[in-house]
Amino acid sequence: MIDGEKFYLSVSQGKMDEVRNLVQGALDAGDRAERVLKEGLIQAMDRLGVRFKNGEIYIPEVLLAARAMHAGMAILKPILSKSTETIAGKVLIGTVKGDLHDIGKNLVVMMIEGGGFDVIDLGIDVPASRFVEAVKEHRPQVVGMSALLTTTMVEMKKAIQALEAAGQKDQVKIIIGGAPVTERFAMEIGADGYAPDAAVAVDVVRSWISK
Amino acid sequence: MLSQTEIEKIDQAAKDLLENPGVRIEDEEIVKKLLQCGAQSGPESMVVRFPPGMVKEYLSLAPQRFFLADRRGNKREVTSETESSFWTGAALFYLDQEGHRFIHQKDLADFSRIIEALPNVEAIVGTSIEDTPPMHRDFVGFRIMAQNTRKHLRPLSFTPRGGEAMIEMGKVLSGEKGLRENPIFSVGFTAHGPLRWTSLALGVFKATTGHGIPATINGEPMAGASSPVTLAGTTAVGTAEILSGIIINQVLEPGRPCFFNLGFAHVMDMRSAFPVTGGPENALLAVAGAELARYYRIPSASWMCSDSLLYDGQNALEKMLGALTHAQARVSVIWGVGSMESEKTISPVQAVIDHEIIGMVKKYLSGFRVDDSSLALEEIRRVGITGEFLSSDHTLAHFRGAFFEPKILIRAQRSTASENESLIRRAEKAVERLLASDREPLLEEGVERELMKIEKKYSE
Repeated sequence: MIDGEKFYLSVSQGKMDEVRNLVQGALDAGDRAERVLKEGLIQAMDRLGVRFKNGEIYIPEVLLAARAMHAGMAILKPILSKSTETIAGKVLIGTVKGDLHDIGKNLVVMMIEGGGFDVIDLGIDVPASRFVEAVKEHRPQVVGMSALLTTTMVEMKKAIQALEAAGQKDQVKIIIGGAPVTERFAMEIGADGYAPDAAVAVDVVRSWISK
Repeated sequence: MLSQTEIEKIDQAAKDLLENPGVRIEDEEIVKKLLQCGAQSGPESMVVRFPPGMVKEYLSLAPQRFFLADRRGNKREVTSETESSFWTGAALFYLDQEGHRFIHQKDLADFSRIIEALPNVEAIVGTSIEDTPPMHRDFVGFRIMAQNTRKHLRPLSFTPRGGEAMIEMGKVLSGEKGLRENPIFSVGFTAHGPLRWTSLALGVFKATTGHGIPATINGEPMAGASSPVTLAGTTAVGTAEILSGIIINQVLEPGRPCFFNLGFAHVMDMRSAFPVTGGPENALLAVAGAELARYYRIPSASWMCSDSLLYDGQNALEKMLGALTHAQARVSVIWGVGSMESEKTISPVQAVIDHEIIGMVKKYLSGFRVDDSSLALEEIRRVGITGEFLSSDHTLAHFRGAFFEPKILIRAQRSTASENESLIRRAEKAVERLLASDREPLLEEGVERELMKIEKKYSE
């Protein structure tokens, strides 16, 4: 029996040891890993997500909770991958070629991880070919691209074209963001979505992956 | 604002950070030079530690006073004590009566013409220009600004090659005196915090070194994201970044004029991750920056901005807070005329409103004179009890320039003014008037031809 309230309290207070104990306890009691994930950890993060949207809690508190959730996830991951079930979903992300900025991208990574997704962070200055290789290797559902400079945002288009040429564009959803990026630009270069900030990025990713 | 003890504590914290963990310097040539000049290798590749002796030695090379020139023949002295100079701000987007859009070459030309006509604005800062290949935007923008204003130019730098192109153009514009004697433009770059100078920033420093061109060294920490959420911690990180940037420039070019710029610092909204630029915390950070710069006897810089998406009441009130606090703290150079949307957008309409704000702030900060002539005791006695001063000789002798004279603020009875015309509409009309006026060429034909030749060479 998974006590959702206990999971919520431990996750929301960032108590990593308590979360580990709850996860291990549920597994020992015979609960399936998928159930522990969904009814324990993800429901806790979803409840926090609602409170975040209502303006009751702040980003550092979401990140604290995400850290606790990932402590629990570390126990579940090996079991889940054995049972071939994916976790909530996988997002590949990077700052495009020529651009060395990563503060915004790192925030998005933290927030998406906080949403229960797995994130593969390719870092900064990522050429189009690296996005293609990484999609092949990691098979994510979503690819995120970031740029802070008008001089580098054109690289997003190149990366999307490279994914298209490699026949990967239809296998993933592409989201872009960064100070100079607009929704119109996203549509023009063939991205599937745009997020003006990290919180919206999580919403967009969630709307795609839960479909 | 800060006590001497607090300033010394921040200074010590910044110097401690320069020593441990040090700063990541992503340029092998500069790392080598720094190590030759007394820096020490950190535990990781490209991390450099700055011992206190080296910090002291190289900071002492940064000039306490230097000049900025324009093409009207003005030379303005800059120190950490001088009155503030107001400049525009960098941007990606443009907002006017026609709407919000990426900045195009025509917009930058129009904006430059507006700035040419606003006496309270002393320099124009470069922007992105969408209808230009990305790698050429810095020097093409430089040429457009030079064609449309004679004020001091502060182009953006997108590549080291762009920096080289602008030096060539700057030499043509500065005339016979040369750039060192007649610095009609300046450059700058921002640390990528925390505690990191990227290869691009360092490449621009290298490309523009050796000509006495003033450089703004920006620490741009964001409290809660790239620096501690506490403003003291943010100030320490920003100061360490700036000091390391100044040291690098002094190693490359001893005596290069540098601005200590902590006034671009932001705070991050903890609900939305939004970088706030128009809040009271930004004012605190800019004032702290000016005070620290004064402690180091180096001129300072800042950015007064607004988070408003429009030219509106929020924009004006945030600008008034910024302009007043920054100028009162005697920040040497204050960016942000026309800025909005957290530094992403500029507007000629907002520039006209900001010009008015600056006029009010300058008048306020100029205070008033108290002496026999201004006390006017004899005149008060002469006019006598229940008399009037309107027709007195003393009034006639002193009234011109005595009070602030607004250009677009309304000061009229309801019955004599168009009561439905807002400040915004009056500012829009001022922009329309300025843009409709004749555009006399501001560059000699030969100079313009030279600039186009350089532009062509670097565009190939």
